[in-house]
Amino acid sequence: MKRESRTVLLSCLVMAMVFSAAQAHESPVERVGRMLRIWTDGSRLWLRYEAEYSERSVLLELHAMDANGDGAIQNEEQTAFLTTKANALAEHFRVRIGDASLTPTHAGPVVLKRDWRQICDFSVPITDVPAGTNDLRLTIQGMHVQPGEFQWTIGRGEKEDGPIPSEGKASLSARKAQPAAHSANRKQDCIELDFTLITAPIASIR
Amino acid sequence: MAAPESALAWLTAQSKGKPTNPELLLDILEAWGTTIGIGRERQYIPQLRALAAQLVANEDIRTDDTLLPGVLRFARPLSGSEAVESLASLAAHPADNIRIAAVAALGLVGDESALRALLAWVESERTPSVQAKIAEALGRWPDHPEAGAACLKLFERATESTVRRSVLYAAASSKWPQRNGLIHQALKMKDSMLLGAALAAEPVPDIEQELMRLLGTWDGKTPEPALIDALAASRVQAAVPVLVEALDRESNIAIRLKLIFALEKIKGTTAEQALLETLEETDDELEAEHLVSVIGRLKLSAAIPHLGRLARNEAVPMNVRVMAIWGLGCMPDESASAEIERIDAAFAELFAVTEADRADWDKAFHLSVAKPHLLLARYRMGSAAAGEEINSMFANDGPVVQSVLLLGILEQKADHPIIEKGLKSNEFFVLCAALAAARESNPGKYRPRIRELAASPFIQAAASVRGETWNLHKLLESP
Repeated sequence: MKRESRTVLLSCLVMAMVFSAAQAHESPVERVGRMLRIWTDGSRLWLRYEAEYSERSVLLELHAMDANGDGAIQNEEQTAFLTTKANALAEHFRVRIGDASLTPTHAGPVVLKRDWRQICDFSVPITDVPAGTNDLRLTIQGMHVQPGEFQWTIGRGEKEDGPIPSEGKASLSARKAQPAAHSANRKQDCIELDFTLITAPIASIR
Repeated sequence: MAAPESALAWLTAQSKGKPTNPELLLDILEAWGTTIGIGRERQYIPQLRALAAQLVANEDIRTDDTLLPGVLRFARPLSGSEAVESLASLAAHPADNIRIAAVAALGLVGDESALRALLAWVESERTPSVQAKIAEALGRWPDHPEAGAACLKLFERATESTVRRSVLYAAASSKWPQRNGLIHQALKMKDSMLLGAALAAEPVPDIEQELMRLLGTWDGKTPEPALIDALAASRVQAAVPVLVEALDRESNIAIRLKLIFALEKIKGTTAEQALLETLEETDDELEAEHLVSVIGRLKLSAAIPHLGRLARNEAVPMNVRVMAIWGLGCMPDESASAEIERIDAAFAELFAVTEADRADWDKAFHLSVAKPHLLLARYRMGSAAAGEEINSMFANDGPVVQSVLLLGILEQKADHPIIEKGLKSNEFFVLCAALAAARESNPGKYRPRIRELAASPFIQAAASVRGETWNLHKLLESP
């Protein structure tokens, strides 16, 4: 598993030192970890974004979800909130295969886990990708401003998430990773991951 | 707790007579009690409170040495008025640990009936460890002189330091009329354990002479930390030369920082001159960072050229450079404004990010908050453009930078548009910082939004999560 992880827990200490009004030992890091899984099923490239939340951040999100302010969450409120959130999240991902730039779209409902993880899938078709070996770059924008851990791995994840689709007709391997996060130069700040995507001839896919 | 309804029904049945399965009862109480203790039980608190009262009142349980401690552990965080009578009657229980647990539970009840029960208990209790617990519990009634009177009685009757120490800690933050007398009495006792407890208190009138007498007993050595704190709390000007001397010879960084903060609190020309000289001389990163913040808070404009040099010097640790920018922003002085403008003009060059910086996450973090600090400094100096840039940075950045910006606005007591945005944040720290800033800057304007937040059961639940030090409940009170 590749791992690009750092925390900015020290940020709370710095702020507590700088501002007397700040409360010491309180960490602003509420989203403690994020995991990105990337895989292909032969016809699409899939991204699975998993974010761990704290109890407090889930409660604050429930407050935001409660659009009519009745103190309860209706299904429509939850769906609307999570769909908007997933669509906004999709904006962070860009895939470049060879010269083609592709934008993954949100696929399927956001899954809420009992341990406060939220899981969201995105995908983009790769059927037009020329057969053979292709350079694939995944660019993740905006994530660098989030505190907490970021990890990524190739593969779909745990068995509990259902059967893993066939990967026989395309394969993905990491080439190099260029970690970037938490620095001041915003124009260059993003997470860029490079892979090799090997696709079989179209005929064999069909 | 899985199947809470049936578990509750079973527990209630057990509470009404002789428990049929004591082991299972204890197991369930321990498991559920843990959930309650960490603040995760939200649905069944009223029912569990009634159950706890019933369990404590159950005669079969009260006479069972195995069951009673477990029941008291479970009942402690749930105790309400209905349990007071049962808890108070445990004053006659022969086991010290049971009486300690009952006293702790009474302290947590916190109402008038619990106070009466503890005041009565003081009269009969003779065991020091329980007396100490009673004093600690009485500290929960800081506005009740009768609690202070009971503590004074415990102090005078005490045969062990532990009791007196508990009394002093309880008295420290109280408004008891007996408080100052207690502290003066403690200072006269030659007991170092007591000294620390007594000196942890807020300033005490007419204590200067007593503190200077104590300071004299250290004769050329660095005084103990509690005494340094007390001298600072009571702003004892006469102690400054001794503290400056101690700073000159002390090498322990923790003690040095204590001395620096004491000089900051006491203030005065001698103290301030010593702080400026120490900043010029120090080569310790942590000390430099704290000194810069102290000098900024004291607005010592004599430090402006040095702060400018620190901020611009790429060889200086990044945290000290960022703090120097903040310090310059504190100075209400033309030359500080000019220095800030010079740093701003050359910011990209002075704070350029290299690949090596990206790999050094500590440095990268401080680099990421350098710009917000510079904007805040310019904003404090009246730059409208900086105000706009703060707005844009808040919209495009993450919770860490958003928090830095809001805390800076809070510190300046300014009513900036990012407060409105922060009040809509899903990030706990950002929301709390925005609430604090709203209350400081323009409470009337933000009152409707604060009330709206306070009415949300989700926000109230977030405020109840254990371990938060912002005191969100307090921030949500109508301003």
